[in-house]
Amino acid sequence: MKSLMIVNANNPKILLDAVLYGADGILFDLAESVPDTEKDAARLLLAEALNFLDYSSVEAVVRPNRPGEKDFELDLLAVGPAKPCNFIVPAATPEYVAQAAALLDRVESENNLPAGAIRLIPSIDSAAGVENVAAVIAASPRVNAVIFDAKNFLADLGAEASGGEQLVYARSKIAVACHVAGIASLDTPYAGKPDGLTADAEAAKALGFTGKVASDGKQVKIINSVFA
Amino acid sequence: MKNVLGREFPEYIEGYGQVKPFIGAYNSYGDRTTVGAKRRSVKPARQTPPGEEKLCQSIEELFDRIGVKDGMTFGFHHHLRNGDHVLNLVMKAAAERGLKDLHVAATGIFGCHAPLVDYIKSGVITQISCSYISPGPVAKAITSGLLQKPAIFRSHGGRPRAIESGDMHIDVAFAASPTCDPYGNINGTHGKSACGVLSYIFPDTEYADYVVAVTDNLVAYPAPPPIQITQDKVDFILVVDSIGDPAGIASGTTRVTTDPIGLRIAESAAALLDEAGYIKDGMSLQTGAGGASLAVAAFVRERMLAGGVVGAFGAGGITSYFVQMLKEGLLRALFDVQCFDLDSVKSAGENPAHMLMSGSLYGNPHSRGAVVNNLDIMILGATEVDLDFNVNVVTGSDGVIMGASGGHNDCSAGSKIAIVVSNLLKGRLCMVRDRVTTVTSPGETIDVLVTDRGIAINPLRTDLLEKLKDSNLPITDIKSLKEFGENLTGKPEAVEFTDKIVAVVEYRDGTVIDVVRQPK
Repeated sequence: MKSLMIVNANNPKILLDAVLYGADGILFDLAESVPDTEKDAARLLLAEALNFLDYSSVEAVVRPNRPGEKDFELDLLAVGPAKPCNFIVPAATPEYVAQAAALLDRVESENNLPAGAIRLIPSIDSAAGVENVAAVIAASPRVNAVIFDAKNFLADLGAEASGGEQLVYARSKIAVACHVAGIASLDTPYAGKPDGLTADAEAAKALGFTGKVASDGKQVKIINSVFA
Repeated sequence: MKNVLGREFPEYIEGYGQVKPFIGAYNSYGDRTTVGAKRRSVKPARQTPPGEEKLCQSIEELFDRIGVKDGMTFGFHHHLRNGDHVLNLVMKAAAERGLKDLHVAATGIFGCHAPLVDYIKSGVITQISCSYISPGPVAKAITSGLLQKPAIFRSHGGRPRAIESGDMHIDVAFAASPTCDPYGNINGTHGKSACGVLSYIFPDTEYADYVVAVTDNLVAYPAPPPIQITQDKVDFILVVDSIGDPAGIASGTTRVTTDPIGLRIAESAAALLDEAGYIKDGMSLQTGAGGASLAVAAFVRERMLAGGVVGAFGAGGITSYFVQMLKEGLLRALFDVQCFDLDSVKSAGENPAHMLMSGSLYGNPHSRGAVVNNLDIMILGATEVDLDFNVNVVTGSDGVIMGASGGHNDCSAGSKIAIVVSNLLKGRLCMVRDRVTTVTSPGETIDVLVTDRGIAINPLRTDLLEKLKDSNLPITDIKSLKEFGENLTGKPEAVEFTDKIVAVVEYRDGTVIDVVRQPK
């Protein structure tokens, strides 16, 4: 997966059009994009969309709310039966990954889905997450990729986002751990000026990342070409 | 009666007249005779008494000298697009004079022409004919039946044809003149309101009883080159504070889309053109003004650069993208009927290879050969396409008027390949329909529909189907596209219409291809 494009799972038009941008994967976001008062509606809408629309040409990835929040479990139980390819584990720790895997065991057995079919993508968004990335990956055989979330990582570290040099260690550590585990590594979404995306994606690729999260459809083509 | 497309309307339409039904895109050729024109002869200066110069001191004086009266037809052109002041200024004076029952024969009507609605309501204006109309107050007023007579939509080639043949007689033509001298030589590319070529008003200047240059930049005789309309065509000159705001030229539909889906559609269209062998030395190209159509030109340009291709010409409404291709040597010439941005205005004034063409030269089917006949590639937009590839650009699926042919049916008929580019889903509807709400361009002239959900080729184009049979492009058939779209949107309920005909849509040859009825 070279490109994983974030879409708001609460927007019917975007759900319809998401497959048209040429992204290898679609990240259906139930967390940051969806206001608290619309969480229920969003997960029902997304489950309906995954059942009704044809996403077979892409990897359908769902970002639930953070583990530890009540919506996390509700998200997995509501959307899991619609059989997305992956769930992201936000703020991933080995415990959260194990917790997500247990919930999916339940979803799969209750819905007669093949065991282990739904995979997990831990999102590394803290200094501890970076240091423990190998343990996070090892916490469940469902893990088949890791996402690096630089914005939250830098916030946790108390560092300021600037040229990207301050991400070299974290990026390297994650890319190397993923490579050793034989899984994909997806770099953080780019939020700077449009003309800086290519350089940012090339920097991640140079450190070993296999793909990158696209924050919108305009980034997909560039990311695909950098990681081609 | 029904025309060959099965569109039904009366043989005689009140306020329009006897109807000649559409008989097919290529069945209305043959010899034609043009009408004569009234021409006022102007004596030499030494014989001209004071006060009888061409220059008028006020619009009232102008109206007096012409002898304007109820029921007249006034011709206007829209090169100042949404920045035009001339149409409003003339109609305001006409209303103040108490004139009634006027026919506004404008080439284009925009949002800036909203004041016309009041004149429609008060009976100052009882008929409008135009080649282009943007969605807005006047379009809504026409849709809701406020005009006493049906509006007439003609293509950019069809309007000059109607004037030359006598189907439509212009009593007074008002040429918005960015630069003009006191004897009526008009330059469109210079002056504070420069708008480029003045092509669409040419038939009016040839055939109208009176031709008025309305200018905000009166210069000493002779006006600087390039002079587009010469003094022998012009009766009177009216100086006003402002003929328009050039910032309104590049309004609306004339920028390349930045929407990634629109760009992917454009990329597919360019790939199809390449695979079908149309991107080659000597090629010619025109695109509509819609963002996705323009984007096709950008991708074609990339392919021309990559392949070292030199094209013959770009045509139609000209944008900075075509100007750039001319400068880069990718095109040898431009045929321009309308400058869509200020870069093209500048180029039209400076570069001899950037050539003006009149509306008649552009698209008139009853001439000795229009430029559209030499066109290879035409990229178009559409509000709807049906299973027979008929295209609607006049009404939305709710029956409300939101456009008119412009050059659509001229270019689709003339070009070697006419491609419609569009999102398959528009709003909450699938744009492929069983039957389009209003036919503007007949399906026999439309070759390909490129959408974000797949490409459909007109089955009449067996050569294209054969050429692209091994293509990796997502080629399907139009019925599958419609089913796919309707599966997502549901099948829309039919819009209901009253019997009242609010607009007559003429094909470029003057036959009636469809009518617009008032939605209930």
